[in-house]
Amino acid sequence: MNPLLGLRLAVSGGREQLLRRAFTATGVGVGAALLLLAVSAPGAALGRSDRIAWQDAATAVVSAETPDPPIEKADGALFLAVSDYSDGNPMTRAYVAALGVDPPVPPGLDRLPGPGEVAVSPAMRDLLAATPDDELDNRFPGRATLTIGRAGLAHQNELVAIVGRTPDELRGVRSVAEVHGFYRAAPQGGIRYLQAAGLGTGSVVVLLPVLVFLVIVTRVAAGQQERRLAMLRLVGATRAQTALVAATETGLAAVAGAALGWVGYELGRRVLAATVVFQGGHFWAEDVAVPGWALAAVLAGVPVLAILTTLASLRSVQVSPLAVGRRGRRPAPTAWTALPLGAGLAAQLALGLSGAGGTGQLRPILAVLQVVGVALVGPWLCLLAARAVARLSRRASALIAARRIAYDPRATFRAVGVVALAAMAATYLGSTADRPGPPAQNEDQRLRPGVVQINTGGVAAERVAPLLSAETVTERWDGSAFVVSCIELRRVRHVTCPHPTADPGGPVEPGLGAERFTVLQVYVPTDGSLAAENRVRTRTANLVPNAIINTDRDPVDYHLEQTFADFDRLGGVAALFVIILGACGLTAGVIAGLAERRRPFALLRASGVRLGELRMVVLVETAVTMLVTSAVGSALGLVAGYAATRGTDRMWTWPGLPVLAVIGAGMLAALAFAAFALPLVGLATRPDTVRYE
Amino acid sequence: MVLTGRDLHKSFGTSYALRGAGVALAKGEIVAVMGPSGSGKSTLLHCVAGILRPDSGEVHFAGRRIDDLPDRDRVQLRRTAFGFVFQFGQLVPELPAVENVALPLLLGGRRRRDALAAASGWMRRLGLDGLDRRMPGELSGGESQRVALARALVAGPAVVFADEPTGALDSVAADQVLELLVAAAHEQGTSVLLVTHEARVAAFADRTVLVRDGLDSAPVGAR
Amino acid sequence: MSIVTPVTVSYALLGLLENSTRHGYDLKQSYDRRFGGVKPVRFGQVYRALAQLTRDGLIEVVGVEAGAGPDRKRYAITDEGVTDLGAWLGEPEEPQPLLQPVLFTKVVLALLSGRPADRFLDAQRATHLAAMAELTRARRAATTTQAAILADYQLFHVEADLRWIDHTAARLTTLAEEVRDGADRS
Repeated sequence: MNPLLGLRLAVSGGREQLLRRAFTATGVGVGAALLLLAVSAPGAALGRSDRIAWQDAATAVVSAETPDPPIEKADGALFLAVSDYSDGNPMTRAYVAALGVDPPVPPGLDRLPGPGEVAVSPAMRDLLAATPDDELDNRFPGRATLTIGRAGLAHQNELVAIVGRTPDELRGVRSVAEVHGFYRAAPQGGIRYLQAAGLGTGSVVVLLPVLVFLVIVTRVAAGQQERRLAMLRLVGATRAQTALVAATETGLAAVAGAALGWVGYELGRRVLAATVVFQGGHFWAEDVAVPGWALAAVLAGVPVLAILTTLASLRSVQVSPLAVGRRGRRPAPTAWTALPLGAGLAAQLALGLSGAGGTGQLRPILAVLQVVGVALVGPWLCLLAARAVARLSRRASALIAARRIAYDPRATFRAVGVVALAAMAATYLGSTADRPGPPAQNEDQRLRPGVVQINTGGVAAERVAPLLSAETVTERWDGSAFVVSCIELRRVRHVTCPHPTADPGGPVEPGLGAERFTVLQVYVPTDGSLAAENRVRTRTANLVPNAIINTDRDPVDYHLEQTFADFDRLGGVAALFVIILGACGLTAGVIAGLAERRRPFALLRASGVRLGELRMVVLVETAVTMLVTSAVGSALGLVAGYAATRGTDRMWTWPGLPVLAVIGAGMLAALAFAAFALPLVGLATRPDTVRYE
Repeated sequence: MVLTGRDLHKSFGTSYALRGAGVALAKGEIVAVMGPSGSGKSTLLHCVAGILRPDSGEVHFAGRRIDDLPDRDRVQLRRTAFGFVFQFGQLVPELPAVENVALPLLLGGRRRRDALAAASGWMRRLGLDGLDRRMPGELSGGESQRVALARALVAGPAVVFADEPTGALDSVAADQVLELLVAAAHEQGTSVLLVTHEARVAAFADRTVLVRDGLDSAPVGAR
Repeated sequence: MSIVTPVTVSYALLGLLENSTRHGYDLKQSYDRRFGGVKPVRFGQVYRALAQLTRDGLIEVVGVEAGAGPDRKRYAITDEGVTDLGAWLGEPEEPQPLLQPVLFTKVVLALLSGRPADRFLDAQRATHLAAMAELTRARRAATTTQAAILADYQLFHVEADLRWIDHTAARLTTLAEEVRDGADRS
């Protein structure tokens, strides 16, 4: 048989073949699109960190923990970046002074702003135009001549300004450092490490269901092909020839599906970029993208996967050309299938309890193992559930459903496996939460409203003199302890007097000559209005550029908290993702089950069985397996989460109500979606469409 | 007459399956409907059994007109008063034989134990001892058709409709199935409408009706 | 000597004569051409049959050619002959083994004379079906397997006839053309 004949055979066939191919193509398309989006997510999240890494250049030089920025130019520049706030929104205020003719330039700019110039982000430019000068504009002395491009911004709402200065102006400022290059990508350590680990595990947990889903879809279509191919074998086609026909047919549909998936991905990423808010801003569409090689790999790999799955499921057809339809049943799964999962969990627990802290790299591997373990034990669970239902149920439709599940538990589990995995992932993530404890600052010592806290890092009193007045409170450093009057402190913070003596690092009352000590913090009470706060900030910025200024408007540990809030949101996106997959998997399962039993069901209807009964059978099959496997999956997720947090400093909590609500809603949604396939029961089993001869 | 169909017309798209055919069934009577493929005999069965609605004509069962009943009522009728045996593929592959037989009773709300006991009884009566827990895929052709027959009879229907019940069987198995069908029908007083293209099968009936091109011809009378 | 009764031969000759008057010799030729393959006869049988038919008044001699011998006579069918032939064709045969020559003859003759062959086949089918029903009842009532097997044998053969009847019925049009073509030449 030449390839052309194979091709002709593959594209021939009537309406049923067309439907089958459309089904494959759609399923593959959905899977490919979701796969691509899942692959692009980590890049999008981390890409932001990369783009604003330049802001940490000075801090890196000063601190010993992170490696220095790369050496890019022979000439250097003096640089300082400070976190500031505008109405509770984070803002970055940077200062730069070139030390030569060819200084390093941060991403997003062609050249450094010179003295008297300011480079601003587009959002900052708008904010400056909208705010009175003494509140904001004066904080950045100079003309806003340069605009920072996307390459240097995390998102379009980011507020950044880089003030150009002369070297002399910056030399005396604390925390300024000389840099010869800027980070173009985030250095290792700190938040990025956490992010990467979380995203890595999350990606694995999301990618695997997509792959499983692709396998489900191709197997559904393959089941239908068998009859046709068995006929070919009967007529004299060799195994290779039938394999070629099957592969071509699936391959064509899968290629069409991959193309559909590409379109879906392109649409999807624009939608995601426009709707998902992460760290205070939307993504640009280009952020949510996969590298070219990954795109090619997925678009090529998905059809290949589909073809391989089809060939694998052809084995039963290849056995004998006369065996139209499977005669023999594979042996039922036994309790041994629980072994891999049990072993994996035990290993995790052991690892965690023994305190092996560096499990960051291991976590994705363990996640994979857990997923595989669940995939192996799932069919056995379904079998147990089926037997229980058969024994306990009264209704005939439940009995039929239970027998169906018990007959081929692997097929039934395939359909619901995605939802179970999703439940497991959700409870795992929900219980490990990756949250540190409550913020370090005691609630009791919160700033009073309207108070502006200025942390200078330690400057001579003369520098801040213009800020001081009768109302301000000054906290100083005498070389070994904080010095501040408790009564005064009480005016600006919620503290109790006298200073607690038990706290070794706590403040002490000022003694004689305290005015000579370096000033650490200045508290400036204001009327609480935004305008007053901004004015204080502006004045402070010009006096002490490196000062960190906070009010009760700003969250103290903003970045960290925001990171975790954002991951919650990303988690929500991932959950939606998996719900879609789960729904598609369920629907595919329902359709597959229908296709296999079309004739008996149609004849049952002819014999007077109500359509509602048949629909109930299909629904019970799907719902029971989904509930059982998801319940077990959730339990496993909790156990795995517990095992993962032992030995690390992370807390294990019961997943909050939102997580449980999401799981519940997700299962309902998947079921509702699959219920869309129920009308097909009626259509497929209409007595007059099934031939009787 | 327990079941009559008169002047039935039915077309599928542009092709006419029935052009005025009719049939009458008395209580306890076994009637064979014979004809070549495409003659419309199966369609005739479907129309009088309430599976299909004829385009025109009337069908009466037990004194009531049934062809114009809504689908739900016809389904109810089929479930309670009629039994069906088709050529193949009617057994649910996941249920063991005895549960397949018990299915009509289970769906009708009978308690599981009673339903299975009744089913088991019918299986014994049809010579299927010991096959209760076998799956349909493990039965021979003759055995599975006898299981189908048991299922058709288990609820004590007034009429059994058999559409080529022995079409896929060899002559010995076919004889067995037909013998059992006729014997059981006589025992219970059930009427049987038997559609076939084989004379040997029709010979089991009391009376044969010939159908050609959607029309019936004068029935061959019984002796 | 063949088992088939001369009755078939007589009616075959009668049917041929209905078409046109012929010599004995022509008649034999005609018979051979049409039915020779099914049931060959010798001249002697033909003349004996002709003699019997004349005695029964179903045919008559309408002319004599010069020369001696029976093959010189010219025969024609009488009105009684036509009626008798019609009755024979219209009456179905009782199912029995080796009906083939009879059925075949009847079909061809019916087509030759323009009578409705399909109705003849329908009537024959009805008779056969009734016979099958009877045989099936007998077989079901049989107490020994031997008796059942004997009944089965008859059943299968009757069924075979039925299949031939259906088969022929489906090809009547073609058959009719062929038979008429042959008629022009004989």
